[in-house]
Amino acid sequence: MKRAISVPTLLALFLCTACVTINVYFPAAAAEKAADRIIDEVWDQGAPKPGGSVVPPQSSLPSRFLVAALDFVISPAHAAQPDIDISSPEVQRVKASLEARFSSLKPYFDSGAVGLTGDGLVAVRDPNGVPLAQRNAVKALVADENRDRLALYQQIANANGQPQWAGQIQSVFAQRWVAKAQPGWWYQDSSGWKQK
Amino acid sequence: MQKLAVLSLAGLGAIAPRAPAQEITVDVGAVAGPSWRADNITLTYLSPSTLRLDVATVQWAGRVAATKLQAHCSTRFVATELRCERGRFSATIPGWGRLQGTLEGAFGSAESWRARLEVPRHGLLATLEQSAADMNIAVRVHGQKAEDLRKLAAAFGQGVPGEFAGEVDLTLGATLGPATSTATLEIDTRSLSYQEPSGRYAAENLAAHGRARWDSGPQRWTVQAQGRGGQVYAEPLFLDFTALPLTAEVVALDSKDHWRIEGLHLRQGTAGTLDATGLISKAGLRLESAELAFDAPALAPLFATDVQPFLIGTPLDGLTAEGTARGSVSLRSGSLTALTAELSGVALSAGRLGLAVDGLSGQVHWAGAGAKPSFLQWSTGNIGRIPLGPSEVSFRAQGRELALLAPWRQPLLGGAVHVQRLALSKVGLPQLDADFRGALEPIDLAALCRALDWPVFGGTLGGQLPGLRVQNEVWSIDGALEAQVFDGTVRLENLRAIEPFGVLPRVAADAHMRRIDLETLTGTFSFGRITGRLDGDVEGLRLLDWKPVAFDAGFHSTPGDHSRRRISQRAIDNISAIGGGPTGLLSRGFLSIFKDFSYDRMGISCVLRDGRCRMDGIEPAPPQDGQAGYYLVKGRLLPRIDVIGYTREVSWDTLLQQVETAIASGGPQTQ
Repeated sequence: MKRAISVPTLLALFLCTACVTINVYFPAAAAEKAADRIIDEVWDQGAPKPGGSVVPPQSSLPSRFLVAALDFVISPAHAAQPDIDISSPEVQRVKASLEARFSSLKPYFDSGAVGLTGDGLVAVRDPNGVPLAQRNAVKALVADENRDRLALYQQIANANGQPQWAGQIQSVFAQRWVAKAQPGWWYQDSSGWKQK
Repeated sequence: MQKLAVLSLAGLGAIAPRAPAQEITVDVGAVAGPSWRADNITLTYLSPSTLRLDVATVQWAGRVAATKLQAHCSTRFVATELRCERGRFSATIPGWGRLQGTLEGAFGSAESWRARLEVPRHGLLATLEQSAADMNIAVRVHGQKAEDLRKLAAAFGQGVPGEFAGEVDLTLGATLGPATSTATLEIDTRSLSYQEPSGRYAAENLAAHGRARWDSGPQRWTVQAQGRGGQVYAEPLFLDFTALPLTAEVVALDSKDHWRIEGLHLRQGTAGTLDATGLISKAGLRLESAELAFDAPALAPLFATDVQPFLIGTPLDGLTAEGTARGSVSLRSGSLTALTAELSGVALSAGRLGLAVDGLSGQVHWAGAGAKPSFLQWSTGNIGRIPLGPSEVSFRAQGRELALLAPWRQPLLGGAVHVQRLALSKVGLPQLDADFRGALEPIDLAALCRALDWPVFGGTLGGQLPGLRVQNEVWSIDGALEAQVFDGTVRLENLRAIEPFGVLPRVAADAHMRRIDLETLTGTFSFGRITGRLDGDVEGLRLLDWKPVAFDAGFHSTPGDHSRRRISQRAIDNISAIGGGPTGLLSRGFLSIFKDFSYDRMGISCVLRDGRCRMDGIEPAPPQDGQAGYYLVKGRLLPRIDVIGYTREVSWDTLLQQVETAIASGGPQTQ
């Protein structure tokens, strides 16, 4: 006996199979790992590892099987390979510039004159903590560092073929800079300046 | 009425000699003068001749100036006035505490009295004199802590935020009349420090002298100040008076909402002067308008102190200037409306942009509208590491537009850049637009290679550049440059500068090489002799810091070329070494008698991405040990030598290093 499938159900099924979505998900976990590697190298913490890209672990067998079964009925949303490439020469160049500047910036981080902002940049927190003769030099250091940081976030996005990711990469870095800050350094959150 | 009371009391004292000690108190009530007022006054007569005055409150200009004032002195009458001698007084001054000191004076009436007070502990000497309608005040304070004075001023409503350290000498002279008054305040300090809470103003070890005079009639301030030593920070300016003493003179008129600067004259050491007039609005201390004229015989310290701090964070950050300059600046509503500068023997250096110019003279005019033509000439300069020769340029700078008024020829590297037309508009905005027509008169390639730290080879490079487009910070130059090198041609097309003023300036181009003579090439670089001709294409060549970071390159023997194709032992060894293969094979055994070999074709290709080179050859070769290979050199005749490569991915740095080693070495080791 043939079971009749009602028209609306048929229509719904037809529409589902006609949906092919190509989503490019921002790989937050991979971005965090990449950010941590860069931050470690810039701030000279931990051993830098060679190589370029970070790939998250593959899903386990039973869930892949399940996914495959679903794929048969409804075309899957194709996700771009979750991977953050930071090996491009532009990214390496900006990272080298950040590394070179850190030795000049570190004393101001330590003294609390300069702190980390909530959006992945640095700012002068306590100008009175800087001797008069150095205040303009500190302003210049902060301006240069911020220019380099913004270039870093944009170049990582460009290297992965997704220039529009720059903002999200900046957010990931904002959180990781603060997480990896040394004790005693100052950072800014929604309620003002705090000390680590 | 009060005069009568005082006279009666004094009279009583005079006509009652050797009476037993008595106390007579008179309640005088309140007394007021033109600008002061005293309340709850009591006069007490203590025999034999001591007069005591108690005042509950003294007000001056509407504010409480002293409370619990107590004064007593020996009194005697001289003519019509009551003299007070060997007196003492004490009073509570808000913000200062209880003062005690000596007192001398004379009292004729409320309109005619004088007093002299001295408070040794504070180094304070004050004389007050009321004659007719005028009151003259002279106050001198020496060695007073500046912080105490700040608290005193705050108690009188003149609050200054922040903290002082150090001492000041103050001299105040004032004449207060019913209609007009004048006051002169002199401050001298030898080592004053100040910190304003937000960090925008600060001073350290300041040695300075200031004199300010206020005329209430015309509402005019006349100020003279000298900074002799120490440092002052007034964001963003940092002034070191020890290095560059400052003298300032200002005449300003004070109106309800504005200060009108009638004349400001600043002199910084011997480096230069600034004269200005302007209007500052009191709300928010905004500069409404100003006309400044500067004269800088020694530009370097002035530029570093007065201009550089404003360039932090801009592309001109770190710009230094030396030489002599004069000019004027106009400001409206806080922004620049016109600038004129006359330069003489100026050296400019913009480290961030890699630009420098020396021996710069001329006149620059910029205005929002109606700008006059500008003219500049210089003797030397450099863009990055490329030196520039002498040149001159005339242009018009107006608003956001910059246009050449005549073709400009800039000699460099034995040739020249010739700009026939250049007009920029919307400078400083992302929608920068350029109208350009130029050419490169052939330059010496060897000089270029030396300047850019490349391996040196000879030839010339030149071409026509008919246009320039700017989009999204990519400057694309139309046209092509051609070089004659190694008896062949190299053509550079699709020239682009990517973000030239940003953090990562890059240069991109496509290069096409035709009929490069290998014998000349390998001879120049001492690579091992190869004869024949080579063609090559390098697409998408991108240089960062003038070093390649990406390209799609392919080289192969020139098709249809019938010149002799021979390759020497050493060249084969070097090619092999670069591919990571064995060397010295040919120097042993039977083949060692052949110094060079015939080849049919040779070729190599490399796609450079992210520091890795993906390599390929002329055609695929039979696989060995499961690895697919590619021919780098395909031999011919006998003895036949084929060089086959198997490595697909090579690190670019390693590859460069191997090439350098091969060139530097004198040949493979023979055993």
